[in-house]
Amino acid sequence: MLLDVQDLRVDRIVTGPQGEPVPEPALAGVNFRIVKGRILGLVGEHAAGKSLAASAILGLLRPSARLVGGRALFEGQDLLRMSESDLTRVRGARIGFVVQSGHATLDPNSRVGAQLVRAQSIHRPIVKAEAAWRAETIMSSMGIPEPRLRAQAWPHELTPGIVQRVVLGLALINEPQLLIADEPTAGLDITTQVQILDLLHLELRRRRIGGIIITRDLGVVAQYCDDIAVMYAGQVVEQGPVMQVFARPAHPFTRSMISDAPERLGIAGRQIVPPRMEPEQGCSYRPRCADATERCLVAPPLVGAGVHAARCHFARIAAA
Amino acid sequence: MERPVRALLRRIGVGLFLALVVVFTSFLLVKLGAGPTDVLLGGPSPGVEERAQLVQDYGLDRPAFVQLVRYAIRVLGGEFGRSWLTSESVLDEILHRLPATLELMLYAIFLGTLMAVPTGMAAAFARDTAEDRTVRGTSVLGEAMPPFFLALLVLLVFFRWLDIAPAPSGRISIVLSPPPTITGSYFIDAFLMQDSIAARSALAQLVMPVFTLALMLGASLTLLVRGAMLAQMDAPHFVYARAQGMSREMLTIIALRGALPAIGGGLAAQSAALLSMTALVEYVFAWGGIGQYGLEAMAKADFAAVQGFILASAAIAATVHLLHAVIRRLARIRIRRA
Repeated sequence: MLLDVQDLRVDRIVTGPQGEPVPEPALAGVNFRIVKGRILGLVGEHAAGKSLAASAILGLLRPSARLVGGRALFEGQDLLRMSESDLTRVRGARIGFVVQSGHATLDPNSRVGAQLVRAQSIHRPIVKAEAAWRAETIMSSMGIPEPRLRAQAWPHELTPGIVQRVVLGLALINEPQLLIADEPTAGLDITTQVQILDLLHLELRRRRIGGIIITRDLGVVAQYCDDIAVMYAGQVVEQGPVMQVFARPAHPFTRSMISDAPERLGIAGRQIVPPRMEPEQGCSYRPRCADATERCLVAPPLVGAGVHAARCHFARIAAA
Repeated sequence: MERPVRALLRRIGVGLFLALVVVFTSFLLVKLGAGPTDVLLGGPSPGVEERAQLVQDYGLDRPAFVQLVRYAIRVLGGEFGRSWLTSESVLDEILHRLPATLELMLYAIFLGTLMAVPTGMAAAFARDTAEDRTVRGTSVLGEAMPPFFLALLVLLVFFRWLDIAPAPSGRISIVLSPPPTITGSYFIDAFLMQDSIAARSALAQLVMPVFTLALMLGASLTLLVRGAMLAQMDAPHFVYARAQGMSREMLTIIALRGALPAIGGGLAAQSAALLSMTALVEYVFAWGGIGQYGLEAMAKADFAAVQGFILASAAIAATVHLLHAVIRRLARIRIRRA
């Protein structure tokens, strides 16, 4: 077990009617786990809490969000209870992070090569020439042509595709045990998306490390992931091996996502913004569920004891 | 190399246009002033000869437009007229007093920046905590306080209660004679002449006015630094820097470097506007710079001197902005080539 997230709870602080801060649950008990050498696809609609979960695990919550409870055991240590200085030793060293593409990700005031050198110097004493050599090496293994020349470039001089390769290099340069990629190809054109995902997949496999790919695209999950965790309104509603979940989706939300996806489980899932989390009791998917009954007024349990499980009263999990 | 030069030329062009606007404003001030032009410029009871001279110099018997053109030509030729109060050339008086004001402003800008940058940064890192709110509250209070009132408070505390500063009697103790003029700053000149008594006295006289101005400038600058830092800290690249596991020191450097252009711009704007505060502070501490000169001229309707003061403050503001533009451009070239 590389990372075991248990009952992760986060509140978003919103402004109440009198201007007072009001906590509103944004993650209502998220559970998922990653095994070394496997890739988990964390999938769900916009604002389902996927990125929020990743930020919470890395201790990067914005001031507008607050951790309420839960555990995130990474190699046996609870990240949520780690001191900030211990966390800085984990972030970027043992857990690599890839964020959405765009020039905004890289420090606009440093050259690309210098940023790759700096990423190493944060986590261990370095010899400058060796670190520079390693920076060029990782750039070329990320498929960046003429790495020596590109190392001298400013982020704004590079194309989005190259920037994302640099970001991937930054995440991998310290040889982490786990890589978290939050919508790693958002905003890129289709060809570049495929190239970046192929590269990401290849590197994860080659290094035999754990990976989380956060995406809205079921096609990405089908093609690149071993496991899937489907999030809806701040909860993981279904989790399991990709083949099993796609063959027999147990949660109505998973079923609707799969049937709504274009032919080849194509480019993007449906873009409906889900309703705010229902404050009353019961299943959070109930308002949109076609099969809802009175039973759904009670919060559904997690059905299925094995690798495949779903949070629905009517889930039928085939024995694996 | 060509583009910076063209940009500089354009800036100089804009500067010249603004200079014309300032001259026009200062002309209008007298033209629309409460009284006949010859009285405003020549005092309440000019002699017959002086009057005739004024009418001739300013073309007062000609149409307003001709008067404006004449005035502009006179100003551009360095002829600022004479104060009826002192019968001295306004330009000479201003040039004579300018070092006193510049000295005050430069030290205040230095000290204010020194206070504001660390405070603003600390407040940004401690966002929405009690410390942050304290810094913000104090800064807003400092910004809202009238300069002369703060000057009186500083006087009360440092001179009256703590008794660590000398009486507000100008730039050097009244029993000492000023050092020979080298730079115009009494402290530096005395220091260069190795006159330690005069240097110490000049320094002691600087304490209260500089501290007052630095507080005024620092208050607004603190809020500016805090805002610029927060803007950086909310930027995606800063969040990503944290995700890379950077220490607090490195994060500070990254945010500060990103915030520097905004801080520099704000500092330039504040410094250019500092003269209005300096005038009031000079008045309280009997500093004898151009600010006090301008204020006294206004109180006595000595309009030639007031015009000179306006032109001088516009020149100071323009110089600050030009300096800022040059520094910014040099910094950008350095980044490109480093």
